[in-house]
Amino acid sequence: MPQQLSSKDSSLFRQVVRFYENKQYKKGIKAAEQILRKTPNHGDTQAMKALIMSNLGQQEEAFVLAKEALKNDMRSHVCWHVYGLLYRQDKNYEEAIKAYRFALKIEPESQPIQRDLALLQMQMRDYPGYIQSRSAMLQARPGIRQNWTALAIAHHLSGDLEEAEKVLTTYEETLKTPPPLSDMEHSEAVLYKNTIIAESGNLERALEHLESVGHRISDVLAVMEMKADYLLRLGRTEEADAAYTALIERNPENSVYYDALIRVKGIPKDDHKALKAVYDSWVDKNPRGDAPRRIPLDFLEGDDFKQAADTYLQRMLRKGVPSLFANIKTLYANPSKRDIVQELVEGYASGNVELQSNGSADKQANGDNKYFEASTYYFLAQHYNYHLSRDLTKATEYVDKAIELTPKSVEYLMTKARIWKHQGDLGKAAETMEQARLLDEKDRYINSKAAKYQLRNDENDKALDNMSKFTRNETVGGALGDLHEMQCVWYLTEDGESYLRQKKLALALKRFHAVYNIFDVWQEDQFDFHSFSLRKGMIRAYVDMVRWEDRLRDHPFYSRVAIDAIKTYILLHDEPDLVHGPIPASSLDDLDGAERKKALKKAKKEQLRLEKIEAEKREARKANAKSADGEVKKEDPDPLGNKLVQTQDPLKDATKFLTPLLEFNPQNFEAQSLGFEVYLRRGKFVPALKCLEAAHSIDAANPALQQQLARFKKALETLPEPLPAQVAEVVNSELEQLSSKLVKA
Amino acid sequence: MSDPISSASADPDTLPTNAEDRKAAAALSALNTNDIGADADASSAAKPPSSADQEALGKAMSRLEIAAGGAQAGNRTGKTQQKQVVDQGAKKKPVKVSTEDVNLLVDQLDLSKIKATELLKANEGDIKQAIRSFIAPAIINAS
Repeated sequence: MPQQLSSKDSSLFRQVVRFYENKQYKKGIKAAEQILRKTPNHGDTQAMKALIMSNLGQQEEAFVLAKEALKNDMRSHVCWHVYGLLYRQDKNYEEAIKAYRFALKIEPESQPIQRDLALLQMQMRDYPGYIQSRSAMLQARPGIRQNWTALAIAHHLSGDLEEAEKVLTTYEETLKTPPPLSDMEHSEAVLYKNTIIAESGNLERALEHLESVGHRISDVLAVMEMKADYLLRLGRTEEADAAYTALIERNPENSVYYDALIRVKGIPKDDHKALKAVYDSWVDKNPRGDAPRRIPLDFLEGDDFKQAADTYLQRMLRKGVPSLFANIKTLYANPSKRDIVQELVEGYASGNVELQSNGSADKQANGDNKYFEASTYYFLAQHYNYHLSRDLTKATEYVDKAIELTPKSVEYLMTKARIWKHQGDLGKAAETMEQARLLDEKDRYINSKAAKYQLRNDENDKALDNMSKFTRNETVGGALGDLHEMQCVWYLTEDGESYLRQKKLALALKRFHAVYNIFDVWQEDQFDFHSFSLRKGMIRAYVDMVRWEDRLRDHPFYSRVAIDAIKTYILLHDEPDLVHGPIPASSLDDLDGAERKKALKKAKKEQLRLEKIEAEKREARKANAKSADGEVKKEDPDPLGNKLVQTQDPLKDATKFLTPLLEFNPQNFEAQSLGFEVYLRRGKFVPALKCLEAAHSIDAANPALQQQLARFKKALETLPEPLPAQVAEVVNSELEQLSSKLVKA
Repeated sequence: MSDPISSASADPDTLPTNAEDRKAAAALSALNTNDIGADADASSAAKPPSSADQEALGKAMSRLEIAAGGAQAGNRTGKTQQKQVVDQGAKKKPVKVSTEDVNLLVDQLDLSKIKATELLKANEGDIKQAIRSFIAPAIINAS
C-alpha cells in the first residue's frame, strides 16, 4: 500500500511542488529528501524528485527513481504523470501517451494531464484521440474560445469538415454581441471557418459567407484574394475581373494575379496581341513596374518576342540591374528565344544600339549609360556560363571586359569564379571568390559564397575561418558550434560532402547526421505551436504549418543529405578499412598488399593524432567554460564522428536515412537506385526489387537498371539458403515481368 | 502491490481510482500551471466568458453533445476505429493473421511489426498478395 504522510510532511510535499514550479530545483530536491528520510517509499515524493532531477539534466537517474516511485504507488496519477513527462522529455512519445492516459484514468478531472495528453496526441497525429481529448477539455471549460477552436481544428485535420464547421458555428451563435473589430482571435476564427467551407468544395456558400463577414476581418489581403479566387472558380467573370484588377492595383508585381486576370478575361493562350495589350495597359498605369513588362516575354514568339525582349533588355541594362540574367534565363528552355537574346545582347556589345523610342521614363536613364557597357558584358558572361548556352572561352572574355570597366564589382568577380568552377578548376574558383569577398568584407552573401567555394575545393579550415567572421564564436564548439546552433544546413551539407570526397567518412557522417538531427528538431519544434498558435488565435497559419510538417522531409535539403549519407555508408560497408580514415584509392586496389597495410597504418596514426588534438582542445575549453559562467554546457562527446563511423552495421544506419527518403521522394531516381544498393547488400530482396521497379517506372531507359538487374539475379542465384517459398514465388514472377520490360526497352 | 512494472502499457482497467491522492492531484494540477495553464487562465481572465452568454454556452454544449454523441461513442473504441479506416476497402470482419506470417514479412520486407500486420490484414492474410501489393504502390504513384 502507498505510504501516508503526516500532516507536516504533506505540507512539505506541497512545498516541493511549489519549488518545482518556481524552478528552485535545488531547494525542491532538499525538501523531497527530507520527506523521504522519514517516509522512504512515498511514491509521489519520489516522482516529484525524479521530475526535478530530470530538469537538472540527470535523465537516467530520474527514470530509475520514477520507476521506483511507480512500484511504490501504482495507483498514483502523480507518478504516472511524471513518468509520462519523463518519456516526453526523452522524445518517446508513444510511451508518454500511454503514461498520460493511465494518469488520466486514475484522475479523470485533471486539466494538466488532459492538456499534456492532448498536445502529444496532436504531435503524433492521433486524431481520434485528439478529438476525444479536445471534447473533454471543451466540456470542462466551455467558456474559453480556444477550446472550441481547438476541437474544430481536431475535426478539420482528421478530415471531418462538416463537424469542424459546426463546432465553430455553435460557438459563434453563443455570442450576444459581435466582438470588436480589434478582436484578432475572432477575425481569424471566422476566416478559418471560411477556408473550411471552401475546402469542402461548396464555393457558393464560401463566397456568400465571406461576403457577409469579410468587411469585419483584419486580414484584408486574404479576404480579397479568397474572394477573387472563389469568383474565378465559380465562373463569375465580371466580378472576378474587378476583384483581380483591385488586387493588381494593390500589388502590381504578383504574377499570380495576372495569370488569374487573363483566365478571367478568357483570352486564348495563342492570342498574343490581346494578351500583350492587357499587360501593356498595366505598364501604362504603372511605368516603374517589372512584372507586366517581363511576363509577355514568356508567351511572345518570333519578331514580337524580339521586339519586346529588345526593349526589356535595354531598359534593364541601362539601369544596370544585376539580377537581369537570373530573370531571363528561364526563357532559354526555348532555344529560339535563347538565340534571339544572344543575338540582341551581342549586338549591344558591338555597339549596335538603336535608340529606343520608348516613353519618357527611359530618358532619365540616359545619364546612366556608363552602366550599359559593363552590364552588357556581364550579361554575356553569365549567358555563356549558363549550361544551356555555354561557351566558357567567350564567357571568360566578356567577364574580363566587364571587370576591366568596373574592377570593384563583387558580382563580376563572382561570375568569374563560377566560370572557373565550370572549367573544372576548383582551386582558381575558390581563389577568385575569395578575391570577390575581399572587395566587400561586410557582405554576408559573398562571404558564404567564398566559404562554399573553399569547401568545394576541400579547404575545410579556410572555409570555417571565413564563416567565423559572421558567427557567434563564443558558442560551445566555436564557429562550427554556432553553425550547428543556427541550423546552417547548406554549410553542414557542403562540409560533409567535402569530407566524403576526401574519404574522411567519420566527419562526413558527423555532418550528415547533424543535418538529419536538424530535421528532427524542426519536427519537434511544432510542439510548442499546438498550444501557442491557439493562444494567439493564428490558426490558419497553424494549420498550414501542421500540413507542412507532415511533408517536412520531402524538402530537397533532406534528400540531398540522405543520399550523401547513404552513399557514405555503402562505401563504408564495401571498404571497411576506411573506418580509420582516408586511404588512397591506389592502395585500396592493392588487395592484401604491403602498400595497403602501410596506408592503413598511416591512416590510423593520423586518426589518433586528431583525437589527441581534439581531447586537448576539450580540456582547454573546460577550463574556460567554468570560469565564464557557473553552468557547464553540454559538450559533444564525439566531435570527430568516430563513434558514428565505427558502427557495427553501416547498412542498417543507412536505412535510417533511406526510409524517409523513399517515403517522401519516391520519384527520385537516385534515391530508388541507392535504396536498391542498400537492400541488396542487406539481402532484403523484396524491398530491393521494389526500388528497382520504382526506378524503372521513373526512367526506363537508364543504363544502370540493366546492370542492377543482372546483379540482383546473380545475388539471388548464389544465395546460400533459398528464399522462403512464398517469397521466392512472388519475387520470381515480378522479376520476370521486369526483365521482359527491360529487354523490350 | 509491488509487482514489477515492465512498461507503462499494463492493462489500465485493473487500476481503480484512488481517492487518497486528491491532495496530490491538486498539487500536481498546480504543478503545470506555470507553463501552459497560466496562459489559459490569463486569456480567460482577459476575455471573460461574458462575451459569450453562459446560458447560451450551456445550450450550445448540449447541442454539440447530441450531435457529437454518435461520433464520441465511436471514439471511445478509438483504436479499433482507426484500424477500420486503414482497411476500409477490405471487409469489415476482422482478419486473422498468423504470427508466423507477420514475422516472415518483418524479416523479408524490412518492416516494423505493426506495418507488417497492417499490410497482411489489408490483403486478407494472403502473404503472396501482401508482398505483391508491397512492391506495387510505388509504381502506381509513379505512373
